[in-house]
Amino acid sequence: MRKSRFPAIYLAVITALTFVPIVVTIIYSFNASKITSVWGGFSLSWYKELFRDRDLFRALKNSLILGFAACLISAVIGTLGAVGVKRTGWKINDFISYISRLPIMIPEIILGMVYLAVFSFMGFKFGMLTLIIAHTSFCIPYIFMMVSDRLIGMDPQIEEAARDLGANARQVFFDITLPSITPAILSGLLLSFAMSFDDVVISVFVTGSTVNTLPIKIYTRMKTGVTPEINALAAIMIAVTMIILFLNRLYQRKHD
Amino acid sequence: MMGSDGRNRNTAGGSLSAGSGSGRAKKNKRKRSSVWILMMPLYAFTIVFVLFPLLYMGFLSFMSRAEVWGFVNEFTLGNYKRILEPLYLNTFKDSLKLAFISTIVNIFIGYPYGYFMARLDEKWKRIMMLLLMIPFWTSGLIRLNGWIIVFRSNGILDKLLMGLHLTDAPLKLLYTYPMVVFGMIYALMPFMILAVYSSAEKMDWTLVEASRDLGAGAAETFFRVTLPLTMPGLLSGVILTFIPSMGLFFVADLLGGNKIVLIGNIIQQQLTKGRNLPFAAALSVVLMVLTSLLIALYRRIAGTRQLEGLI
Amino acid sequence: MADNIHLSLKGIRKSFKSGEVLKGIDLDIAQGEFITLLGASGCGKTTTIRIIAGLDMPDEGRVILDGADITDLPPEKRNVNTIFQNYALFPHMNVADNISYGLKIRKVSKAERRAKAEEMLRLVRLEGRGDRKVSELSGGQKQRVAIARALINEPKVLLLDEPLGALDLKLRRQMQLELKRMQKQLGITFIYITHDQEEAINMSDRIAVMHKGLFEQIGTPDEIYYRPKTSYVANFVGNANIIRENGKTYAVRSENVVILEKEAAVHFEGAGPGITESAQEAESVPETAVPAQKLTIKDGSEYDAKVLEKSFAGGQLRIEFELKDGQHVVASRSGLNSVLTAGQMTRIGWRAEHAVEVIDDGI
Repeated sequence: MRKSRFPAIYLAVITALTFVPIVVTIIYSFNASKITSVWGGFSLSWYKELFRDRDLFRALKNSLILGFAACLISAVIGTLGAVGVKRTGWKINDFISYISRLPIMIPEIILGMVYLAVFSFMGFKFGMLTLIIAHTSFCIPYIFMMVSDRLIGMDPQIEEAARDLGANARQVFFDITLPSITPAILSGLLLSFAMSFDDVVISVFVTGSTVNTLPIKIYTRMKTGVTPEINALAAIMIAVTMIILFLNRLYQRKHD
Repeated sequence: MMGSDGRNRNTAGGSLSAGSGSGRAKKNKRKRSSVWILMMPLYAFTIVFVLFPLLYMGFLSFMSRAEVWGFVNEFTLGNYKRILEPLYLNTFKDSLKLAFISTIVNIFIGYPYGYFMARLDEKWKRIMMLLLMIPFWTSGLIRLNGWIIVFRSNGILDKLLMGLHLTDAPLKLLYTYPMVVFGMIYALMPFMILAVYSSAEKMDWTLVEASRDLGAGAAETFFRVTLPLTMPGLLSGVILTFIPSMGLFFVADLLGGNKIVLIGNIIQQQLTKGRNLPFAAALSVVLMVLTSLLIALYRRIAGTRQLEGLI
Repeated sequence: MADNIHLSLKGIRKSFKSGEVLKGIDLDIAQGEFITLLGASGCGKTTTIRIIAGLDMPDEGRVILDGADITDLPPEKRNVNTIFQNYALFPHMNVADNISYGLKIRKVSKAERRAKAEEMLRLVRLEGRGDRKVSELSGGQKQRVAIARALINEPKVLLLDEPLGALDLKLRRQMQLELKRMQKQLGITFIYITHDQEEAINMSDRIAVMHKGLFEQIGTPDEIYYRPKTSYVANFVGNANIIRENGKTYAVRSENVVILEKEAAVHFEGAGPGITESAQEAESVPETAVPAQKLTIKDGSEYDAKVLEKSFAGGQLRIEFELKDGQHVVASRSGLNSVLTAGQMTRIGWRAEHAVEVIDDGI
């Protein structure tokens, strides 16, 4: 069979298109002109402006706190849950794991609306706490699914071998099970952090009036008209994303 | 050489159970393990913060609205009756239409992409995966912001086209329906690609060769072998693009201005401006039922629980 | 035997959802014995050693080790170690860490662990490979690591679940010898599982043949091979013909089936030991007999038989016959061919001492 060049061209064109907004954003973050559509020469002024913007920094700090808290809590709940579900084999486990997956299956807006209603019913003060709960709910499924997948793929005899060699249940978990599922936990963490750090829809409903996350801030500013400052912020965030992805690749390569 | 050095494990010397002599006929039972405790945080969180809220939403949808905020404890079907009003019914129709269009387009763009990608050699697979991941992991808002710069009136695209004398006036693409469709497609395409890719990657390509070897043409092989084998990925790609596209209100908001209204936007408006909690709940219930039906349908067809490529 | 019981199983029963796997088995094993549980897959042998290891819990019955009831002890509290069928090495640890894991659990100092691991590596002939990743090892090497990892704990009993199943024939032979050597050297009780009768006969002090959750027969390889108690054992271990006659059941191994007509010339050319002997004992046949001459058996039975099929398997020619009453009999010869052709009528027979009366269990 003759090798067609079409697939390569197709992949290249579509991939290039997906990068258009990213490249444009980075270029225009160095635009001296205040009007985004006009190129006014190279300038770092928007970066300077950005670093003076206390508001955005507070939002960034909130997003980071929120992301780390939600991810760590869901890593613990999701990992333990996946291990427990596999070991016990209760019938009701299927039901609970189905329900626990719902937050990423249903449209985000439903989750936002539901939490708005329930948190006011429960009398929670809207703010960081409600944000963390809401984000935890959609981070758990990622960790849970990835860890479950890994556990299913794991040779059950490895754990039995450890017990046979004298390890008690706790030692088996820490010496054998945990190291085997660590890559899955890390990928789950990375993915759920990205989801948390990116979330607007759910956050808008549960954030209250005092706490802003970065995406909410960006969203409101974009609604009121694009500010060049956002381009600078976007460029930084893209750079951070790329660094994280690169580090992740290095880690995965090491563990292959 | 393996002589006893006093370090041998103590083998139950003292723990001869009292009843062992007479215990021949009795049923043995080891102490139940306590691993179930590990799941309790998941159980608790899921019940309190997922199951209960969803049930509460169902309950709310049958309540009457209160003056300012919240609800009055009076049973009513009014919220659901109101959804049948043309205004809301049309919104549902529009949302489904939009979700439908963007899903179809995503199939035609994303399927070949995932399929071609699976046929690359290992090195290029990794490179493409990384390239795919960069936009995927970049905030959706930021990517929309980039497109706005491109498409806005007198933006990059207009300048480019006018510079090439292909058009002589700005196209005014932003804040139109096609723009919203475009935004949805763009936002959700990675899900389709990843789903198809993971399914095509697992496929046994020797089957394709076997089919060609048995005399089937390229097209026949595709429809008889490749497509059925990658169907689980394609179906889960459909689910993963269709469902979110009904709820992503900010895409319609930012790219469609206030002209395009989707269910997501109405729910949001009912909560923020209308302050009608029970009605928003009823809308959510209907949306939830729609998505549940889709997922149930998916499971029926694909015969699996797991959504392919959902990572 | 009785004065030296090391491990004993008393009335072990075990059921899974799929049905009863062990139907009340008893077994006494002596210190330092190499005993093999031999049986087809699904006969309950793996469940038996999982119960000894503590990985499964019997529904009924007790496991006694050195006079102590260990039935209720979890696996980590038993001085019994297992070699798993797929080795079950820890993929995230290197070879040395795998081997010394049992010592680490028992809080043995690092230096001592290292020294012991080196010693074990020497025992299994993997000197200097302690730093290797598990994934870099060949099947045979993984097997050795698994053995070292178990033996470092100085278990009283070592359980081996088809440990050589994944290896090719040549490596199998070599590992059989090595395992036997190690067992002799260390004096540890080995309980070995296999479905390969040759392996069982080569290695074991005693063999316990298992069938449908029960022991059919427990005895030395000689006893099992030459004096099978049941038709199942005769068939599974000796590949014997099961002949039913006058309400009794006999087992006749194929090499003891003598062909009394037309084959004679071929017998002497091919010269398998059993055949020569049989032919010599047959009356009035000089060693250079002409083919057409009739042979008879002095003390035994003779039958008219039709040749059904000839095939070559395992270095032997197998000839299948059908007796008048419809029973099938297989004779085996060394050599590649015989003058007999399919469909031909002939006479076959065997000496009385080669027909062992067995209990009929329908096989």
